[in-house]
Amino acid sequence: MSKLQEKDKAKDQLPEEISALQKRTQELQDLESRYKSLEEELQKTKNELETQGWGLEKTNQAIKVLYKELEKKNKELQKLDQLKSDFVSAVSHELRTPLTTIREAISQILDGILGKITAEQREFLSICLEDVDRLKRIIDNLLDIAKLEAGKIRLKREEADVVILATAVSAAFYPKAKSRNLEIREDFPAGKAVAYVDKDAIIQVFTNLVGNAFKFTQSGYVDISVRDEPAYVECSVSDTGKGISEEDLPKVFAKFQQFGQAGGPGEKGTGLGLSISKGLIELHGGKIWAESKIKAGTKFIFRLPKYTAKELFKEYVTKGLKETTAGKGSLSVLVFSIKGVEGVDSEKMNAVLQNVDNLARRQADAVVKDAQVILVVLPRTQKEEALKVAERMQGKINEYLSKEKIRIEISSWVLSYPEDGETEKQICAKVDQITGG
Amino acid sequence: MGKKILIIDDNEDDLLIIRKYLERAQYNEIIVAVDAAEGVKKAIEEKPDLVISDTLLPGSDGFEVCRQIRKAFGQAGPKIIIMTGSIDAVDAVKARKVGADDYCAKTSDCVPIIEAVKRLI
Amino acid sequence: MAKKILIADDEPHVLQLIASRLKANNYDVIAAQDGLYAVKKAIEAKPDLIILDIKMPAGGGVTVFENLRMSADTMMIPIIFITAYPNEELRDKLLQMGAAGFISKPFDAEDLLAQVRKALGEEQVK
Repeated sequence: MSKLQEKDKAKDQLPEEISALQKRTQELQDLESRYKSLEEELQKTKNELETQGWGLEKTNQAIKVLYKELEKKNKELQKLDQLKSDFVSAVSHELRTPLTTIREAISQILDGILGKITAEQREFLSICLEDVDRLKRIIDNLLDIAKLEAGKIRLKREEADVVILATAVSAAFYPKAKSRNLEIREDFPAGKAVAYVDKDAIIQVFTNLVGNAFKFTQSGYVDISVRDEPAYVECSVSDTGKGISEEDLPKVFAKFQQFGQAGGPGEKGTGLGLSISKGLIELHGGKIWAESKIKAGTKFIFRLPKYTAKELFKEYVTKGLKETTAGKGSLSVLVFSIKGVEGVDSEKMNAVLQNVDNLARRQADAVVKDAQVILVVLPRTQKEEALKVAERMQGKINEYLSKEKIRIEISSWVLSYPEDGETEKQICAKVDQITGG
Repeated sequence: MGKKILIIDDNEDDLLIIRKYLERAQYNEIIVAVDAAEGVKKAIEEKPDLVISDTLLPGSDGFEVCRQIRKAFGQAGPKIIIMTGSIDAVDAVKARKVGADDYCAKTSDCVPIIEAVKRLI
Repeated sequence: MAKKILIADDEPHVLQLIASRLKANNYDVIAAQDGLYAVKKAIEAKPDLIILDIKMPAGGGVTVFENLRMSADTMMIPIIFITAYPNEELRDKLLQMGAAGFISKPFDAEDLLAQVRKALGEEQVK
């Protein structure tokens, strides 16, 4: 091709190339502006991230500070709570003494020890006595509540037939029922209903519920029932009284609640009875609740869980170990195992078991009785001390056995934390080893 | 210490507590305001070195106060701390976005607030 | 002949009321308000029974108890303790030491009389 032809060709291609270049430039410019806007967006996102990060950090710091504040306030509340309980205890004690003096003095006058008194004087003094007794009940209740709230109530649990407890309370209210023309109905099973309970506490609860039933029932009956279920014993006290309104029902277990005293005569309440009953039932691991409708009577129901001896023992050991790790010293368990039982009649066996049980209960509240074993859990007791206690008890037991001429052998072992076990599992396993399950 | 501080809070008790702790930390020039409008006005008039504002204010909030102060002063304005009794991460971000310098919790010992004050002025 | 009972308690009201209750039940009563006087009167009058408050000035119930146990004249006299703060340990300890009874304050008249009768070896009047 000649030079002219080459030039012509190139000239022809020029517009194409120019437009291609222009296109390219445009693309580059587009890319640049896209790049710029992406950069801007990235920067915006970075800023946003930074802001969010700042916000989160500030929030984090504040949460930590607030948490510390919560802990501080919590500790203060606990201290105040303790102060309150201590105060109630101390005051109750102080109030009781002069009260007793007053009661005894009035009682002696009424008994004629200071000479004859007129009928009118008798009447006035009787009024005094009644109100002194009411004051005493209030103070006792306040003390109970304080102890419950401070966790200081120590239940003396043992195997007890709840039917017997219910019967006792029913009998106690019989004269009152007669005088008020009310019927007491009993609905008890043919056999026993046994649970691990503090007898006095359960009687207190029954007495409170039946007493309330009487207070709010003008005519009809008060029904006390006990049911023996596989996992628990269910008791109830129902009446044909004025009932509790729907809005008052949820408040019924609160302190100092008194829903209008019924017209009936009788002991004035303190408003604390149900609160104490609830506390006591819950300490047993049970539940208590009420069902009622205005003018249609009221029913209070509570359940006492049944523990096997093993479960109860586990509970005592676990609780004792908790105290140990909270720095309150050691835990020891005394195991009394009975051998050579064949040929001894069951009555004698029960008497022996009861004797050891009684002895044990002088040392501790946490005593578990099983078929041929008695376990005593001694919290805050080191092995050395526990060995001494076991020795003393063994001595007394042998004395008793030889006196009654009973040919059984009772041997004792002492297991302590941490030497013989550091967890409830380990300690229970050792006990099983000794007693053979 | 020569630094002027404006506190904006509608709760009298809280105002008293913060004031007490600030004075203990040697910050003695303290002005107070009990609502958003008064707060912004005093910020503009008195030109404090630092403004501490509660989040919740009658009819408005601390974020609005912060926004308006920033608008009035631009970059040369006071340091602003937004404080609150109810910590919220969303609020924290909001605080930053309206130009606050810090966001802290109100506590009974005012420690977080005092620390923030010391850091900022 | 009426039995003699020595009561020692630092609270005059309690002293007066217990004395009154016991006298109404045909006992002769000697009163003391502190440990020292209690020991003195015990040696002098050789009562049939002594009721001691645990907390008293110049020697509490336990100190008096120990002192009396050391003298041949008084070591055989039964002793009942009263306390405002009953606890199982104390009770067991004193019973082990040989106390004849234990009453807690606020005291119950029935309980007091029953324990007195038991300590004196008298039959319960039902």
